[in-house]
Order: sequence, then C-alpha cells, then structure tokens
Amino acid sequence: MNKNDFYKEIMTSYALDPEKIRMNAIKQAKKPAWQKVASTYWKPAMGIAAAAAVTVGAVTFSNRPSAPDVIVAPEAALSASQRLIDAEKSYYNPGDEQHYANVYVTFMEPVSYTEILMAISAVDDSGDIELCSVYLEDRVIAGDEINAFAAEHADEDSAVAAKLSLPAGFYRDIQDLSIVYLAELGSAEINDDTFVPIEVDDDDPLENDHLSIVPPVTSAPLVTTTPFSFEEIPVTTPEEVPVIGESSEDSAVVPPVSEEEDEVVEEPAVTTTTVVAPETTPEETTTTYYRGDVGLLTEMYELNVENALNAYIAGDNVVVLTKNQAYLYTIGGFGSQYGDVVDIINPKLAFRSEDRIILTGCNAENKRNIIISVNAETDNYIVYDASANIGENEIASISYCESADKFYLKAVSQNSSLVYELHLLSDSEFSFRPLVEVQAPISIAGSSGDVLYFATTAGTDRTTLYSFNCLDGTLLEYADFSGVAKIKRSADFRSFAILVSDGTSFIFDVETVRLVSTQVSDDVQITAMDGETFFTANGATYKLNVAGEICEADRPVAFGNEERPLYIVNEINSDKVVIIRDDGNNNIW
Amino acid sequence: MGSNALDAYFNSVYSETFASVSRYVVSKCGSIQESEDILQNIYARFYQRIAKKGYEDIENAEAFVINIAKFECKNYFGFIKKHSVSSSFADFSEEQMVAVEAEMSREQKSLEDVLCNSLVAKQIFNDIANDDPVTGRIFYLHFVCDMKLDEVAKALDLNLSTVKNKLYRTIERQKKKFNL
Repeated sequence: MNKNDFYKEIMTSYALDPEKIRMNAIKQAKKPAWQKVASTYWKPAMGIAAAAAVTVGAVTFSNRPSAPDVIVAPEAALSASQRLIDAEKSYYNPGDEQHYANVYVTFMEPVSYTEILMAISAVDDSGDIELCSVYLEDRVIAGDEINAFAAEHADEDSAVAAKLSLPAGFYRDIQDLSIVYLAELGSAEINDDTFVPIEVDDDDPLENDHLSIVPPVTSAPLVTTTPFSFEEIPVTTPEEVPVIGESSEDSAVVPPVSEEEDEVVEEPAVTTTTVVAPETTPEETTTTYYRGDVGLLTEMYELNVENALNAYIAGDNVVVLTKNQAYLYTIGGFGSQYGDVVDIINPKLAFRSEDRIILTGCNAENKRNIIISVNAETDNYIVYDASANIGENEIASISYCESADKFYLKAVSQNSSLVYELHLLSDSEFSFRPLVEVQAPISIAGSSGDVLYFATTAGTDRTTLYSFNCLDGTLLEYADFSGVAKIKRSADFRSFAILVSDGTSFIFDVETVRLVSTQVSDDVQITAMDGETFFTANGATYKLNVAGEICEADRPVAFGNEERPLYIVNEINSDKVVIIRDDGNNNIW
Repeated sequence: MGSNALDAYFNSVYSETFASVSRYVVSKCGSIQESEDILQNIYARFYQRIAKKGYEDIENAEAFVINIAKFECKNYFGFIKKHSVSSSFADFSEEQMVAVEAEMSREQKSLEDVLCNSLVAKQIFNDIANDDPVTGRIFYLHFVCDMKLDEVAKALDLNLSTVKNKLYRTIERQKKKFNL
C-alpha cells in the first residue's frame, strides 16, 4: 500500500459516514419542527415562538396526593407567553446562586426516570439537585412513590415534567439541557398547585401555530395569549466513545480492563468522631470575562457586553459568557487587549485556575461536546470539538487532580456515565483516554492520580462509593451508604466529604485512603494542605491528620480559591461587565 | 403514499446522489465536520419534501438535491460566523513537493498495519480534520472524490500551490507525528 491508497482509506472510512447521515436525516425529517428549532436557538425563544397560539390551563393533576381534583382559579394562572417571558427573565436573573429554589421542568418529549437522573448528573456532580416530583401524563408522583415507580418503570419514556430542588446557580444549566423544553423557577404563580407541563403536538407550530397542554384529568380554564416574536441567535457548529464494557444487571459499573468477575469489596475502616460547632458560609471568589470596547479607567475596566451571563478571570485573561458567545480578552498592560469572540451555544465554566480557563459548550445539535481552553500564560485559546472522542455523549464536567496534573472528563449519555482522562498535549490538542463506563449517574469525588473515586446513587435509598484503579482497571466497591449522598470535594481533588441523607457524614482522604465518619453540616468546605485534609463544620475548622484522627486545625486555612486574583469581577449587568484590580482590601487601585 | 415506498425512493436517491452531493458540499463548506451536518440537513429537507408532496414531479433527483444543497449551504454559511485560525508556514519548494509526491507512490507495508489499528487511524483522521478546516476538505476532495489537485484548487477557489502546500505539509507532519 502506498500513501495515496492509505489516505484514501483513512478519509473514506472516517470523513463522512453515509449510513449515519442517512439515518440522522430521516430521523431529523420526522422530528417536529419546533424541536429542530430548539436545537439551534435558545429554548425559551423557541418556546415563545411556538407558544404564539398557546393556551395554558391552570389545573392540577387529579391524583396529586396533597391536593386532589383541584382546579385553580383562572386568575391564578399565567399565560404561556407570560410563563416563557418569566423563564427568560429568570434565565438572566436566577437569583442568589446558593439559594435553593424549586424548578418546574417540562421536557421536550416524554423521558424516562433514568434519563432524568442522567441529565441531572450532567449538570451537578455533587448531588445538590433533588428530584422532588415526576409528572407522568396522568398523575404526579413524589417522595417514596418515585422509588416505587423507578423500580418498575425506570426506563419507560413516561415523564413529561419534573419538579427539582436545586441551588439557583444550576437553573441555567437545567434550562440548557437538551431534554428540557422549559424550566420555570417556582413562584407564587408556578407552584405545586398550578404547574402544568406543556406538550407540543407533532405538527409544526411554526406553520400551524398549534400547541396543546398535556391532557390533565380535569378540564382547564383557558387563557389566551399574545404572539411573541423572537430573534434568531447565530450559533457555531463545531462523533464514538470507547465503550469499556457492557452493563451488568443492576447498577452496572463497568471496568474497562479488569477481567475479574467478582471484585473484592473492601470494607473501609471507619472511625467515628463527632464534631459540633456553629455554621460558616463558604467564601467564594468570582471570576469573569468579556468582549467589546474596554474603557480604561485607571484600574477599572468596563467591558461592554450585552446580556453577559458570567465572567471569569485567569491571570489577566477575561472570558465573558453570553447565551451564545464566549468573549475572550486580556486586561492590564495599559489597557492593551486582544479580543476574540467564539460563537458557542450555552457556554459554561468547567474549570478555572490562575492560568487556565476551560469552558464547555454545545454544538449546533445542542450537544455539549465543544471545549474551549484559554491559556492565560500564553494568551492563546483553542476551540476543540470532542465529538470525535466522546461520540454522541455529552460533556458533563471536567475535574482537575492537581497532584497528578490530570484532568478527568465526565460524559453522559441517556443511560450511562463515562469517565475519561483528559490531557492537554499542547495549546492545540487534547488526548482522551477512556477509563470507565457506568450504567448510572455518577459523582466524581476525588483522585490520587492513579485511583479515581466516584459515587453512584441507586434510587433514594443507597449510595455506593467506588474506587477505580486507572493503571490496571481494577474497580472496587469501596463503601455503601444508606440514602442519597451529596459529595463536597476539595479544590485539589484529594479529599471529599460525603453527606448522606440519613444524617451521617464522612470525610475521605484519597492520599491516605481514609474514610472517617464525622458529623458535619451541609455547609462543609473541604481542602487539603501539606498532606492534611482540612474541613469546616458548623463554623469551626478541623483537620484529618495522617493518623486518620480529627482534631482542631492548628493553622489558618483558606478554603475555595486559595490564591487571590489580581483582578476580580465587580459587576455584571445587562450591558457591561466591570473588572477591577484589587489590592487585597477590595479597594480599587 | 406508503411509508415503505417513500423510504425506498429516498434510499435509492440517497445512494445515487450522495457522492456528488457530498463533493459539492465539501467544496463549499467550512470543514469536514460541518459537511456532515449540512448533508444531514439537505437529505432531511429532501425527505420532508417527498413525504409532504410526493416525488412524482421530480425528474432529476440529483439536480433536485443539489438545488437543496445550494440553498442549504448558502443558508448555513450566511448564518454562521466563522472563525478560522490561520497559521503561517514556509511554503514547500518545487523539489520538496516532487519528493513528497514520489514518496506518496512508494509502497509501505507498515501503512496497512496502521489502518488495522482503528484507534490510530481515527487519530490520523482527526489530526487532518481538526488542524485546518481547508486541509480536511482538500484531503476529502482529492482522496475520496478522486479530484486532481488543480481541480481541488479550482473548487476551493485556492491557488494550486496553496493546496499542495497544505496537503504536503500535513502529510509530512503526520509522517513524523505518527511515524508513517
């Protein structure tokens, strides 16, 4: 074979897959038009257009446990247009990011319980999002009913909506999920008694102006709405994940290499210590970016970006995110700047350090598989389409293990989670090494470099912590907890807290491989310094020493972002982002 | 119209037109990756059209699909703002090009082994597709569509030397990177 034949074979095999294109074209052709629009433009905008002739009933499901057969008074109902407008407002102002809010989610099309959990795991790696209720076409289930339902019907596409409880900071991410049609923050108007999911008929609403409500059991008072126009938002466009193994019957965690059928379940040595003290609030450092003109006011920079959602800073690089763009700039140096704008759908921060920002975003098919990596040391950035590496799956999170200088990328599909080791080979290239595939939502908890720890939750009654040896592929079920667990991990990825819904809690140090039972609050912060794990509990700071004992911290500990950034984001509003140089005392220079 | 008849007609037209339509799209689009999306849109439109209005009035399916392709490409690229990162490299000399061309025709048994390793083969493709969108298109048109380099240059509205430089530069880079 010569190189001409070689490249012909390479290009024929991998460039365009006629069969895949044919199948997707037919699938796309048979898909309702509004869904296609939704995959390209912002969903609320899509919804507003589609809802031009919508009527929304204000009814409750007849078999809702708390309020059966209740018809809400018409004046309490919001029109569909108003609901969509409200959702758009909420998108830009979700409120205090730490504040828990109820979010009512209407899905694009009926989805399964498993799909809901996988989608949630794509947003939140720590278990902060709670699935409170599931709206089926004919009833609502909540609490223990969800477990009972999941046991029998976990994979049935029967859920048309759901109620979630989550920190408001996750609201946009929920709205941006591809399975979500509309996410609405709970309010006086949208609550358990009034929320009604919307279902769009298969007819193209852009042609037929036809949309209907999910058939409630009781009849609904009708509310007419007014047409609403929306602007099309330009987007950028940017493929197979090595499947490590097949799922087994239950939670189905699949190690890629290990061939041992029955892994030894190692029981961790658990030491019990009780810690009691007042609560603290985590200190959070905000960072941000921008595009637009920069007005240099000594050490204050006004970045004129309309509809900026977030801004992040690494070194003297600033990234400002809007719904469909990432604006990249440098600041300082007498206002010198390089600026570029990358069109990317729903960009969000995946990782930030003093010298690097990693964003993820969606391609034109609304799949989150684009990575933007900004190197603040070289002032360079790359836009990388990971679809060739993760296939049809979507990027859920990127975590960094400082001690091993490794990134871990979690990708999710409708029914499985995949973890890759991600290496930044250069400023223009990534390498992906598949580690493990799990047929369940997972929370990546920590890593020692060679061993990765992650947790899976089965329903609401069991959480399992696994250890995965990245060198030999050995997977161990490390510990089992009764109930749903939240994972709070240290920024350096070497320790984490497990807060279980049954009230128990644990601290785990990956270096010493110690799991210690303790009593900490939801507000726990955890970090590692000089080989020791420190954590806060009820206002006091403790450490887990090398002997695995909990004792009071013997020195000041900085949680969160230890290094104070030179620049901070001072303000983000509808048309600008303000960056200031900080002298350490919040004084503008 | 029966769904089976519709699918049969669609599949028949698809297999008959894919080569020419993909050639057209690749020559007009921004990158190989974008081509896949556009091709999907084109054939989805075609399917919708024949599902809605039938296909009895379509005399020349290829021309019909190419027309959709023209519309789709125009629509697509009028819509998307492209950001290309250009890089500057020294041009190959005539002698270097002749040397690369000669090497391209030389038998190398190791290449078959590379093709057998699908992971490496895919990496080689990704390296082509991700490095520079134009380069991916040049490779596709030259190696898959069997177009001569001057035809590729014309289709892409580039100088022949630019096409050759991009092609040979990539081949030489891959020779070192993948030990080809």
